[in-house]
Amino acid sequence: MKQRMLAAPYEICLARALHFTRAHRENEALDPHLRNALALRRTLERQKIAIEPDELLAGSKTERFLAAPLPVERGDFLRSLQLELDVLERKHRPFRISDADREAFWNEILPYWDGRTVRDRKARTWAEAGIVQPRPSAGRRLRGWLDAVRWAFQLGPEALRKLFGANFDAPLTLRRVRNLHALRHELAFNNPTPATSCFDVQGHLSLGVDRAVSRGMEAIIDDARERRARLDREEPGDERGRSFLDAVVISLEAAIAYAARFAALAGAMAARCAEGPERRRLESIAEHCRQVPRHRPRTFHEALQSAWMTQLVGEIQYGAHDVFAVGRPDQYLLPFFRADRAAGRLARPRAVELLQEFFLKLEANVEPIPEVGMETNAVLGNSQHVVTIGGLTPDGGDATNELSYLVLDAFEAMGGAVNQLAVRVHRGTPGRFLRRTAEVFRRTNGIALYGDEAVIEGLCADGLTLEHARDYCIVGCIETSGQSNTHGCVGGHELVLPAVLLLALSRGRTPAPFLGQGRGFDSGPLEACRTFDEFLGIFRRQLDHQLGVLVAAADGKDRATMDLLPAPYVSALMDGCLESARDATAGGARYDFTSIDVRGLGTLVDSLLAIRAFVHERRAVTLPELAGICERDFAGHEVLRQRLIHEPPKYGTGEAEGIAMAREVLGWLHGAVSGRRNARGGRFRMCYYSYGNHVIDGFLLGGTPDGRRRGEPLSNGVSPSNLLDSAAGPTGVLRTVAALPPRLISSGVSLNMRFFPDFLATDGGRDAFAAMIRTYFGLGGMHLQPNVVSMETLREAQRNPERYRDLVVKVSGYSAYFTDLGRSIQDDIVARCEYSG
Amino acid sequence: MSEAPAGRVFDVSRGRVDDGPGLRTVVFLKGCPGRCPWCHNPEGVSFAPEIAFDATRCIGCGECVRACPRNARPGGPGRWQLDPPARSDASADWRSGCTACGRCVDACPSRARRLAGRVRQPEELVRELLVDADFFAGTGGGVTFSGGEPLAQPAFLFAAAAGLRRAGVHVAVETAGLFPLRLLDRLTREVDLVLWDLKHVDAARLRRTIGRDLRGPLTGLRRLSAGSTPHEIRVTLVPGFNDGDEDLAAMARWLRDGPRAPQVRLLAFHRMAAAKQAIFGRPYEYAGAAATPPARLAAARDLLEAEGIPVRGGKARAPSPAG
Repeated sequence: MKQRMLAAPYEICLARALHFTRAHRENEALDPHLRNALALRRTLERQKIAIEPDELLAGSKTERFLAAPLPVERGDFLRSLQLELDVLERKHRPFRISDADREAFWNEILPYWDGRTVRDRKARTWAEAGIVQPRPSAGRRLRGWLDAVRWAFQLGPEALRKLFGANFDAPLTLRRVRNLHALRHELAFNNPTPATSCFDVQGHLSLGVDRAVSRGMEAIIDDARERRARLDREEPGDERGRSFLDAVVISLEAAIAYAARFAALAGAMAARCAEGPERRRLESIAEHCRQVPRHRPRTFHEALQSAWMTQLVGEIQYGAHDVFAVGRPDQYLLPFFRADRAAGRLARPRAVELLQEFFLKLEANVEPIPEVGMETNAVLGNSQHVVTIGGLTPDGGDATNELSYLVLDAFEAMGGAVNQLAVRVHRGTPGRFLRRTAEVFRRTNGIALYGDEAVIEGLCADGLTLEHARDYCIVGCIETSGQSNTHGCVGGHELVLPAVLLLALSRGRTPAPFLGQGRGFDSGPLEACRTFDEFLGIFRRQLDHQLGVLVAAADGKDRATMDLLPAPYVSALMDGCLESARDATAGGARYDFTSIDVRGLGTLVDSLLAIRAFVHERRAVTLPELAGICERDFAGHEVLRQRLIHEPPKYGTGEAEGIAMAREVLGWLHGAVSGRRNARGGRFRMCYYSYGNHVIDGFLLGGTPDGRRRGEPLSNGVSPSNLLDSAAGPTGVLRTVAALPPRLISSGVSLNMRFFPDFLATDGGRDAFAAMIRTYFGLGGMHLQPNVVSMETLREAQRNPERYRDLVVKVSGYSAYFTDLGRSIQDDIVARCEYSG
Repeated sequence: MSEAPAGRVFDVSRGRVDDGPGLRTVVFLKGCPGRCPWCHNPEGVSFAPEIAFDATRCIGCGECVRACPRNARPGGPGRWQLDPPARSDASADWRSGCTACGRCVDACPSRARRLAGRVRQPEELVRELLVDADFFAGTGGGVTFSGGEPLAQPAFLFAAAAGLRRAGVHVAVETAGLFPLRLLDRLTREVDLVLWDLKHVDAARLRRTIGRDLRGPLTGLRRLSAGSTPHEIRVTLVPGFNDGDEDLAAMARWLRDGPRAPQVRLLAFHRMAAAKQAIFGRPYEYAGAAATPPARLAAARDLLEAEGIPVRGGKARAPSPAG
């Protein structure tokens, strides 16, 4: 199956989009909860289904083998298809689409949704609030075009080609010109200012797979009906609550009926089959799909079938964006595994085989990401369906069990495992488990390690109970979440710290590259600051302004989602929603947050330290001079640039100055939003990772005072800048990152470190590595993404991509196939300093 | 009370795992009585400080020339020269008038220049090393002194080792035994682990290669093996010197005759030192030699094990970082 996946073409399937379009059109008068539940039901009833050869777990998301459901109603995919439908075959990684689907898109899907998506509603809200200017005055428009041209010239054709990929070279047809014109403001609807972005998604969350597996959906339907009866008695006026609870029942019943379609198909296929293993396979699929996800599974195999069906229906409902993590399967599958083992009906190799298939299916996930994202995002296995294992139990015991080891076995057997595996480590984690983890990721990569003590401390500060905090899982890339009880909105609200700095240094005059972006905010004249603290005052004014824009932008997006796209299926499986009779998008979940994802911490800290050293301590250059030098990309100032790189204290060396400045920055950010509430009443949390976008930011941003030139990447996550000499070694980096206070980074951080495979080649090396990780977590570390790969291998893979199709690397928390990545991110990975043994 | 002796250190490398147990910091002491032509750390041979120059980092700004008190024309090879005609004559090599005072290093904005062989005080070095104490404790690691020949600066070595051990840090010393035998007792008492580089067991070949007659390499190892100090014998396979079957068989026989069955770690010859020749401006005799192929390493391992010598390792060894 892995081979088939690697060889299969990527496809676009618009079946879901079409069913959703028709269902929404037919039910416009209905409450949005019901409208969305009926759209899901229609898709699940009518979408063509298949059972693949060799498949042990049935269930398909689309009508094609390797395709993803596209949530056109959200808006971003509608726009990216509108932009790229004619260049799909020319993309960095081409997609196939049928002519019928293409026609359906132009004639039915686009005309219906144009103006009706979350994105459109969001854009209108932003325009009303003055966040963007979609219809600017003629003068503004002219200046906008001039800025854009200036920006394009600064970038140069090579960077533009990297940024816009196939769009840059594709021939211009009339339709493309019309669409390009119609979409000229689109980037501003993601990036209200040069330092912020706010996408249409709400980000990753933990789907209550464990609930469906442990209880069966029928039990949840009973709960919903009971709650509905109580609502009628107690709050008869709550129309919205009633619609929500009805939508929950419709959605769960639709999921059960979808499984029944697979049972029927498998039964029919079995009937045509001669006696033998194939017939037995189909019969058992039929039997499993009759039992789950409706009821509690009877076996380990059924438990996995239930988990997969629950997950894929979630994706169809929500639309793919790799949104859902499956939580802690080594915990919720354990009772079924133990019962099967005790009864002698499950051999370990069979269990590993089933787990492998489950992980592969989670991975079989492709999305036509717009070319702007192609540089950093891989297509296949751009999977954020994170699996979390190990760690603590809710009552504080060690959760590591025999199934945790089998999950590792399954990853190892998959070789280039792409699904993310999050391994939780606490003080009492068995040494054997940690060593085994090191052994497995030496061969596979794709494993990230989490320090339970720091993560739990952060989650408790966010208001989770200790039991819920101990039961956390990882969602998205590296984000922390309660399991099946947290609507965290962890992705899609992003802040680029070095851009904030450049806006502060230019009084907001850094050119806004995208049409419609507002004029920059003037945080004050540089000439007036005599001390470093005065400059920090200017920087913080700019920072507060940018955060304010981001919070307002997120608010517009959240209200649009709440009004248009409730998620009754997801909410049905989330703790708190039935009780409050509110959808998760309306704040029904037990815990509700919005995370701000911050990029470029290392570059910012190094820049501030450089300003302090050169401007205010040595007085080697004035602040306006330095700002001008950065703007001109250090032309004629190479000596100064080298000194800025090498002489000031740095972030990531373990030096006190770097740590202190980083903590101060984290404190400002946290302080600026900790008093605010999102549209659902939830709190804001901070997250420091960049999923590869630090490379894109680097293209867009001019020189920074740390000596980074225009076009070079920013620092990644909480990792130090690439400009840092590796002399401080891994311990300097680990000590720096471990010193960041968990409550200020409670939504998660990403620390990437590359290791030579040699480092882990011997038992001694693995023991030292395991002990190093323990020490780091003991000092307060939260996350570590070790990449074990040699530079030679990567270079070779760049030369012969076809031979390294399954080479997996990690980019800031999520795995990707190396050969799917754009060249510049490949180069970035190669250049990242190497901690060799 | 005498003041603690200063020493010359040419590098400190953190976060290593193959020079003793756990996570280690390796301190490279400058200077070696030996003259092994394949030396992986050629900058560790001379006791005098040297200026390393990495042309790939040079931006040609000329700050070094302006900083040089002896007008030693430190503009490096390849990038730019102050006085091109003078370079036709051999004495015009920029290093010829250089006393390695280090001013050009301080002046260099891009770190193209590095002073290998800074004078360090033991207390100050120990303070720097103790930054990683929690990682040493957590991983069962510590500090390894290497070189050069660390025992060529015994007072400094033992002062630093004592300071580290007082702080509870595990100390290892990597030596080729190129030191007076009277130091051996002290070594076995004052460090926790000895990593002994055994180059050859034929005394005549050793003498020819090292360039002087020392009893240390063989007699010292015999005595070390008879004592109770933990130690490991390390053999780097050097092409044409000790990697022949006969050389290895002789080594195995010699080791078997020792007081107890020793454990040997085999290390591959690697080519990283060739990259340093440009940096330190001196030729490297083994520049053309190929790295030990894994198959040869495995064969050497089989050969030793067939002779009854247990072998560990067999992987390429990372060099000390240069430049």
